[in-house]
Amino acid sequence: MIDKVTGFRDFFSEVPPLKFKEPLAETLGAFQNEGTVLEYSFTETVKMAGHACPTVAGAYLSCQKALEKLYPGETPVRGNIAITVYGEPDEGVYGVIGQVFSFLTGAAPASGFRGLGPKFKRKDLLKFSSDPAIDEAGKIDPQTMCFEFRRLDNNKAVRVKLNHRNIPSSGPESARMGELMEKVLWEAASPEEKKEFQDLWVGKVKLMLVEQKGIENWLKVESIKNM
Amino acid sequence: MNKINTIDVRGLKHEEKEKKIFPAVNGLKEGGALRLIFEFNPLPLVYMLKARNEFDISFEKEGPAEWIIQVKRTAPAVNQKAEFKQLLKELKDGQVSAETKEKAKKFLQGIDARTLGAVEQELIREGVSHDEIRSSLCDIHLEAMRDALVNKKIEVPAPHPVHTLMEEHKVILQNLKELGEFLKKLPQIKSFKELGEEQTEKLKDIAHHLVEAENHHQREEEALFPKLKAHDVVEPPQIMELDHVEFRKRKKELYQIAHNHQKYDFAEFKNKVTELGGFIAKELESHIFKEDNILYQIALQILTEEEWKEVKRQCDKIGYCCFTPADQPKGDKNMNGKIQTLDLRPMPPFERHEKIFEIWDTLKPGETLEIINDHDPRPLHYQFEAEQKGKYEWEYELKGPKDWSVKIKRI
Ligand SMILES: [Fe+2]
Ligand SMILES: [Fe+2]
Repeated sequence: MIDKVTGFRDFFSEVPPLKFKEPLAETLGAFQNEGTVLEYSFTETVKMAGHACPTVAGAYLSCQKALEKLYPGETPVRGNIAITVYGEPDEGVYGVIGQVFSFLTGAAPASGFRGLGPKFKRKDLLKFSSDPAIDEAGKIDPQTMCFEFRRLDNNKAVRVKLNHRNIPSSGPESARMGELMEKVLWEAASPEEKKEFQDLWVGKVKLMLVEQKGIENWLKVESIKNM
Repeated sequence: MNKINTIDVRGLKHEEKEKKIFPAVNGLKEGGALRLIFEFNPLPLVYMLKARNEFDISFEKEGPAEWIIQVKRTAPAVNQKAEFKQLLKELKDGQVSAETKEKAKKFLQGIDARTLGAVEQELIREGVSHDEIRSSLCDIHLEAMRDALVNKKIEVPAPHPVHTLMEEHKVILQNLKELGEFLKKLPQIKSFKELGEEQTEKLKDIAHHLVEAENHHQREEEALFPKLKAHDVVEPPQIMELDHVEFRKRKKELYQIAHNHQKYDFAEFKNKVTELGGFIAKELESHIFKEDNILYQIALQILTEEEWKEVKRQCDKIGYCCFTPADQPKGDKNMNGKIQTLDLRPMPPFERHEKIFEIWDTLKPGETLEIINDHDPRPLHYQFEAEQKGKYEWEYELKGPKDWSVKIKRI
């Protein structure tokens, strides 16, 4: 199914958006009314990233779940969240994940906004760390991607663990997807194969975002004791 | 005794270095000498000058911070421009004799990039196209360098990036062999039916492995070649990159045909597969030979240990092919047990041997002492052979030219 307004697959619009206050836009008079709450949707995230994939979906969900835990019953505030990605920006998919976090929360790497006087600084709120992420028990799990979200106003923090390997998908299905992907990339796929590949690909994204099948096994949010 | 001029080219850009070096070297009178100081090992230059058979070259100092060579003219200079023009004319005249090729090789071994560039410019003004010059020279150029290097081929153990790349080459060559065998059978076959499903699947499999090797080329282009270029070794990696582009085009077409053969009539299928496959089988094999024997060898001689670590990190980030053999982790089956590392480089030489034996005496059987040194610790090997025979295993991990590392295991 295709969403007539955006051109994207229908289920994109079923994904609940993230809501934020944006004090910088507010201060500089961008809103008609004070106290406007902004929505950042999955569709917009896909526009920013240029594609939808399990990585983009995983980053979107990680951010959403982390903020639910950090801001219970409150609206999160853009620019008020510092994020550490345990990985290097040019390693694996960490760069893309960082971009999604940045887009959603305003936390920017070194190239971000310097701020106005003492306020609204966005640069360096997003950091990449090559140190291994160690859990409470002091263990390192190299299979799991790990991100830390910290509220700057109260210093509360949560750690998100995302493990794509635990997302349920049948073996034959992923093998088929790999085979089809090679054909698609080297432009040898028939129109039917192309369609089959795209459905498999998007199917995995849907399973993550809408069905959230077995999410407790692949996405965990833990509070970090205050330091 | 004649006073020897010294030219210090440390810190200068490649081009500026050449501007200072070549006029001075070319201007040397027979018997005259000059001294050159570099901040890295000027091996490519040394090979180049040696190949001209006009100079004697000796190292006065070999690193780690500076390299000093002395160049002494032993024979009069030849007119390179005239010789080059004559050669190109011969190369251009269609059929190239083995003799001409040999002459060109000799000549290219000795010419520097600047002179070559200047003569090229002149020829282009006279109406010879740039492509023409390149295509008649590239292969001969590489061949010339290969001859200088092939005798001293260095091999490195896992998990060195060059080890991985060379192991991958073996798998790629195996795949090319299978491609060759497929192509050999093809001429006698008259239809898809006769070819059979097993063989069409075989071709798909070969094509799959060819495209899977893209990642190998990517590691070369993004992790290794930039480091070579930073050491002023520019042309050889450039030639390799152009090769990659040519392969990619044909691999893609072959892959498409293999997977959609039903869209072709058999004669057309046969023609295309023979043409594309033939090119890949021949040229990729020669490409790999050049890398193993020239490019990687230059790299092994001029990159520092620190740079190799960086190359390895980059390679890890880019990832590997489905057929990349698994790295043996540091300390594999015959080298397990605790490893102590001792870096001798910052220590004064007279303390080194004492320190080594101090640690050696504390090792239990199965444990290993890894030493890192700024010269080949061969004397130490003799000492072990004399004093510890049968009680130790000696394994080089890194063999210069800047740093050496050896694992000495107590048994
Ligand atoms: Fe290559
Ligand atoms: Fe290669």
